[in-house]
Amino acid sequence: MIPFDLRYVRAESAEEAVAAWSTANKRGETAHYLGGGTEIVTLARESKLYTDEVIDCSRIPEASAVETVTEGGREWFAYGAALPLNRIVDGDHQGLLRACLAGIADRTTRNSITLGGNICGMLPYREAVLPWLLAEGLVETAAPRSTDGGATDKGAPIRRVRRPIAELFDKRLKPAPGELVLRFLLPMDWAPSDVSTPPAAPPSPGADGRRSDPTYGPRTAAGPGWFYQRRTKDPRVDYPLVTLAMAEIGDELRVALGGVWGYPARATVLEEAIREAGGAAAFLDRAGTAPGANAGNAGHGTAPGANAGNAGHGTAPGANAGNAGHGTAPGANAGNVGHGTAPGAGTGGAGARRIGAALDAEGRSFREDHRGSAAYRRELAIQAIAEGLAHLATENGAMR
Amino acid sequence: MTEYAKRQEISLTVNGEVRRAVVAPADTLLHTLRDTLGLTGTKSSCENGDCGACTVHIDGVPIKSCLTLTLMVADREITTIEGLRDSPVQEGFREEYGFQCGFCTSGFIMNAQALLENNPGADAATRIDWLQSNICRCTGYEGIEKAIDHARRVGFQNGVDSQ
Repeated sequence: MIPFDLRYVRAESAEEAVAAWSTANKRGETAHYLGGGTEIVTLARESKLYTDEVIDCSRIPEASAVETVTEGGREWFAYGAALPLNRIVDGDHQGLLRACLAGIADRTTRNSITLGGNICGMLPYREAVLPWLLAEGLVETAAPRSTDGGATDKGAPIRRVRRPIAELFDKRLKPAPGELVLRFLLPMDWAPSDVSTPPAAPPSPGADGRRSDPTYGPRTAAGPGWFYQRRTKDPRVDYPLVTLAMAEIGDELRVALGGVWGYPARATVLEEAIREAGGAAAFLDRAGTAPGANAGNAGHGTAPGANAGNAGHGTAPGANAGNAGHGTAPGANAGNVGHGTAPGAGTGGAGARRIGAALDAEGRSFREDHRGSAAYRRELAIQAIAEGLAHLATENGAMR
Repeated sequence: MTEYAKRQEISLTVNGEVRRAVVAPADTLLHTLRDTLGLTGTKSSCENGDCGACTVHIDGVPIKSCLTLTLMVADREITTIEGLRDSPVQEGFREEYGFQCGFCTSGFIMNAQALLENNPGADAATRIDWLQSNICRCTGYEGIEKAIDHARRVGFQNGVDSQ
């Protein structure tokens, strides 16, 4: 039960919502935009949030629909910020987007949690933003004219703006006071696509007993190849230790992480290292021939990265030895950080060291809480990334 | 734009009936149902969205009523456990002993009812995915899963066991 009185306003348009906020602001009161209400109700109940007014935005037409729009001469999918997550998870939408949203909370709560609510939320995970970070999507907002430094559309009660998400998202989405987040735009090449493992699949414990449910989609003429993996302490519903989202876009391989740090972010140093190496396959291949690894690996003429892919799924001691036909043997373990179960596997390989060094160079602190230490989160992130790189290199042929 | 600044009487459609209720803007649906309308089959437990004991349907979609302001759904169709009358899911729980202390049962039933109405052929993976929204403190999950499987076969698939 919320221990204080508040005022409830249901807005039917962005103009009404912003006007309500401005009115409350002029009174010297606090007002919050409301999507599904889950976080505001929870925080208010715990006396961690006080508000004089909530402005329900779930009935604003453009905030509760998926539409196509034109911006900058391009077509975009515009996802309403007030869409419940399950409307997207269950719909005909891009696979990585659906996978990222399906990992959030539990099935029933996702009927209430909204896209905008998750991305703008106070919890550190905000996994819904990962596809937008990867796609370098746009955010559409509506702001009171008084906060935009001089509106160009004089006469309109609000100013609508579309900006790259990077301009508004730094650790968290940072709209100006009173600025209403209306929609999130994804490029049209993020078209509906299949998911190799449906998000509804039962949790399959990884080799270390924790949930490890990678899903992926092949690169197509219409859209990016991608890889997704979420690891949690509890095998069922839990906040993530690591959420990894990777996508091949153009000639780039982009990597975004949630749960690892105190906020979701792109791993730009790692992306640059992969780019410098010439792609995921070359990055892993270089790892396989790093000092101390098996220099003969390349001499066998195997497909770059293939060893890493095999090793990533190795689940039994000695599994790597069985990969000898692929020209592995010592050195293949460099990529064998996927599940880290075979002798010599784990985070000690050259590939793992390169990934770890890149993550360290991001300059971000690894999150530490009762679910896992900073070192453990780092290790799991390395494992997930290695598995993702190996998968994209072998299955999708990423930038060979 | 609609504004509610103080406690006032509103109409709610609950279990197919229009009910009048005095509601404050800060009231959650859970407390309106239990404390104002006397529909105590919807259980109050964690009030944090974790346990699912307070699950009800809004326009046929399961939601956790502890996380929902009553005014957000005042013009929607609300269904509580009292609105189900001998549904196949209830029969399944009875036949398969899908309860122990029974506190979580109404939440599980409401969730399972929505699942099977939405997807009568739901496979085991889908059923588990949905049921993870609810917690049974007695850990009676095996009986609950059997109950829902019973309901699926007997009530929603005319006895056809496709899974």
